[in-house]
Amino acid sequence: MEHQSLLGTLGIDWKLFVGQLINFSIVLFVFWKWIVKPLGQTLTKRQERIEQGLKNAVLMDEEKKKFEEWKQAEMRKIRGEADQVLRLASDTANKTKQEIIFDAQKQSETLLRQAENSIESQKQQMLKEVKQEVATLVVMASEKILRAKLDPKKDHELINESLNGIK
Amino acid sequence: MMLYAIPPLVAEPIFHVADFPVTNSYIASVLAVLFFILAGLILRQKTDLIPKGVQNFAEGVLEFMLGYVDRVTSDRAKSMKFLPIVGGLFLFILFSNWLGLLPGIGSIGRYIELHGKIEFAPLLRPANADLNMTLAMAVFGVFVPHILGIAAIGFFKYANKFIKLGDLVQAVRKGGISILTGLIEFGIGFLEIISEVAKLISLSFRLFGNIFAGEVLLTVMAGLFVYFLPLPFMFLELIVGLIQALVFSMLVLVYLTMATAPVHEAAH
Repeated sequence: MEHQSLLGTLGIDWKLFVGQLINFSIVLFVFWKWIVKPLGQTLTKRQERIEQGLKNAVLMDEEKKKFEEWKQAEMRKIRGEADQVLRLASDTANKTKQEIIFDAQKQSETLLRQAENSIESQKQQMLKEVKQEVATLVVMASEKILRAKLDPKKDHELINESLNGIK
Repeated sequence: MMLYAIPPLVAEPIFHVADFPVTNSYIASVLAVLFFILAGLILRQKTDLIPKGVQNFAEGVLEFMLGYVDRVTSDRAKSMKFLPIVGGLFLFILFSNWLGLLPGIGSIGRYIELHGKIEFAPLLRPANADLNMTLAMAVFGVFVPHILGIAAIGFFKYANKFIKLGDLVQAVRKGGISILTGLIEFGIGFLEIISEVAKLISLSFRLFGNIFAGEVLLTVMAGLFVYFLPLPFMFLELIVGLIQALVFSMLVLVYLTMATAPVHEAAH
């Protein structure tokens, strides 16, 4: 056959053709199953990971900014509170100081008054006692004078005696 | 005495396994298969998220090819589907072509009886310098797009690309001038069928012709003057090997893309 001989001169041999087809199919299968599939999956996975990472980074930045704002607000609040506490403390201290001073003054006044009172009463007491003494002396002197009326000499002595007694 | 023998058109059988003629080209293609199996065995476990060494290289090659495929399909999902076919074709052809340039291939051989006389037959011959190999790949590259095309758009719609009966019926229903266009379209359908056969022949013969011619060229140059003279032709063959691999795989990629593209309703 003309056709058959043409293929023959070109070296076409169906056995070889099938053999080469099988060889080639093995190569394609290996390339697909062992190289493209796992590596393709790895490539896809890596791309997803990178995209996720980038997204996370943006998210983190936002979180950071939010946290920073929150921190600032919180700091402001706390500073305000601290100021208030400080003010309250100084107010209380001032008040207490005033009270203490006032108390001390009052107490010192009381003490002074008490001292004055006791001095006054002692003076009164002394005066009373002096008056009594004087009265007693006068009575004694009168008695002595009355008794020695009869004797001028005695009278003189008596006066001297009384004077000594007063001294 | 001739110092060199121009390689014959047909690959020489080196030995027979049962009834199967093991030709020198077949041995070379088996070597390529072994290489790919080895590469596959190494790479199948290398799926670290942080790549290094071989994995990095393989990923680089894969991403590079994916970029090219993307430019034709402009669809990542489709690219991932076609990459095993197109990338496998490309790498296999490239590896086979460049393997054929190694020293020893085409020069180490044995004397065997061929066509009734003792002749020198090299132990290895570039795998693509055998029409059986290129034809096998061409058949694959032409038929797989048809299968994927049928899977993508349905049998009847796909068949209507070639046997435009559906279009013809529609044209007759419309009447008037569209009957004429319908008939012309029907004829174009037949041309499409012929072009499929032409694809088969052009794919296989282009690759075979280029690689075989390169082998002949190198043999002749080495025969003329064995030192330095073949060097520029070696470089040329390196480029030819790359370009032919690129052409073959790109054409198959175009067939795949065209076959799986949705049919545009005839709006003439």
